[in-house]
Amino acid sequence: MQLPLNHTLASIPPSGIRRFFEIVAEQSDVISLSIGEPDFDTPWNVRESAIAALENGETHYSGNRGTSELRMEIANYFARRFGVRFDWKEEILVGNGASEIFDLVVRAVLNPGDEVILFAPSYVMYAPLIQLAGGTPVFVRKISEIQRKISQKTKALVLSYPSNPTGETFSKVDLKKIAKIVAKNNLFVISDEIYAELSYEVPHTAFASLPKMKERTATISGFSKAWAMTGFRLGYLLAPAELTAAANKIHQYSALCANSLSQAAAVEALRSCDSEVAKMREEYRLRRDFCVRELNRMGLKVGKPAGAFYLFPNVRKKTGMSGEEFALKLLKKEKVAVVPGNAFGEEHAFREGGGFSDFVRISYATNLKELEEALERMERFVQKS
Amino acid sequence: MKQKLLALLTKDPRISTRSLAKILGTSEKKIQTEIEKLLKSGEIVGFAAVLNSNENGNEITAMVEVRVTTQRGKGFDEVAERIAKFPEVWNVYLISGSHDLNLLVKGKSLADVANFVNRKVAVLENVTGTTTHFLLKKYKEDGLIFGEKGRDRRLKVSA
Repeated sequence: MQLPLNHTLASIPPSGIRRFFEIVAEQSDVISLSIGEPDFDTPWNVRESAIAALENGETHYSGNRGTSELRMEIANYFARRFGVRFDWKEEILVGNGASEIFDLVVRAVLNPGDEVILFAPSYVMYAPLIQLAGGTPVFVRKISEIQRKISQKTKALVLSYPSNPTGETFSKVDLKKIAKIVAKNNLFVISDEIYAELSYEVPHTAFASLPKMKERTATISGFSKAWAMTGFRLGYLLAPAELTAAANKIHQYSALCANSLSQAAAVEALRSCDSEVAKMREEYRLRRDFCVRELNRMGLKVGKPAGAFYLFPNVRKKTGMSGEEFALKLLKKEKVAVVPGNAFGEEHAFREGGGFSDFVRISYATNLKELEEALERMERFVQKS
Repeated sequence: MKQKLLALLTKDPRISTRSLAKILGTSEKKIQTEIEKLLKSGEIVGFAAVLNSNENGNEITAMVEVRVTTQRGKGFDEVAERIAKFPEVWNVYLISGSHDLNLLVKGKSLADVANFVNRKVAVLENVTGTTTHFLLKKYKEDGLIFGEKGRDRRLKVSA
């Protein structure tokens, strides 16, 4: 018996990442450079805190918005690191990963038909969640394109920096340009800054720190990347009280609260992991520099991305293959997995340069030894192609 | 570069100069020169394999506390250096607290180790007493945890 499902879902294409995952899962002994999470173990003192919380029976519901302890720590952390002070009572909401937070924000902000501008290539979750919330994603490649893509229906702009899949970030100068456009057109900004701690040379500027931007920005971040706490599922929203309340209105019904053990662990993460985070950051930077050198040497030209742990080289120029072909053949011949660029926005392809189907995303969230081996295999593959 | 080189060598002393050169973005020759410099200056004392002696039934390890008197003109260094010359002694540390020197001694049997401590260490001038603790099991050494190697449990592909 066929039951009709939500119409919007039907119009959302299946995840390219998911599809590729199935293919890779069939192979054994693959060195995967397709992983979007840190290879580091969560710092031991963080795990210890979670264990202690479990032993202490801290397994009940927390307040909807998150424990006051955690929200206070988040407020202190953000003020300390990025110079913006949010009111822990009214302007912070803790959720189940930055993913849930983004979903809450778009559902709280968008009305059917609203347009949302975002940069391509784009992290896989934004467009589908915008569509599910009734909005229409509109893609741009550069800051200079934003103004002409703005219409009567444009409600918000999504920023995500440092970026997945490109690793690029915005300088303060770039952000000021964006702020000007945002103010002029009275837009709302959703700023996903989850990789903020992994910005290697450019000091990260929180969008909400720019003049007059705090009142129109939803800042999203979390614990997955810098503290290697992906499985803890913990993220947070920093936003004006009205928006935080609106997001909480949904969250209180759909999730009730974030995992209480994760929240206990996160308090420890913010209080005492600065040196661990710094160590991880240095290790990523070392790996980034290594990968950039090796890729350029083998002919896959790529610039040095400012942050996160990804590289996004164009493979067609050197090998004549599309990203998908490159990824599939590399997997088959050399057992190295990278993600085809079209997983990050082919249907909204920009014809100039062939869209993202000419690219692949390489993640360097893998130990140096495997990274070295993987790149050696890749070089062999590229020479033979 | 030196700090990064030391960090990489500490993690894996067997890492090849080729890998080091690639990772640090320099030439193999420069790597070799730098390592030689570090060995010469004593900043790198040496490279050693860390063995899991839990698996080796032929070896007994003991931690020996040594109490020392120091005389005018003679500090701990003399005694420590003298003790360090014995091949049975693997580690010699000067520490604060209830005793002065802490040694790690290895031998073929309990008797072997006990004999060594009694006949060679306890009799030294300036040594006023020793206490020997036999090591029963090693869990972690030099930053390396013995036992199961951690495996990568992450999903092979993720956004």
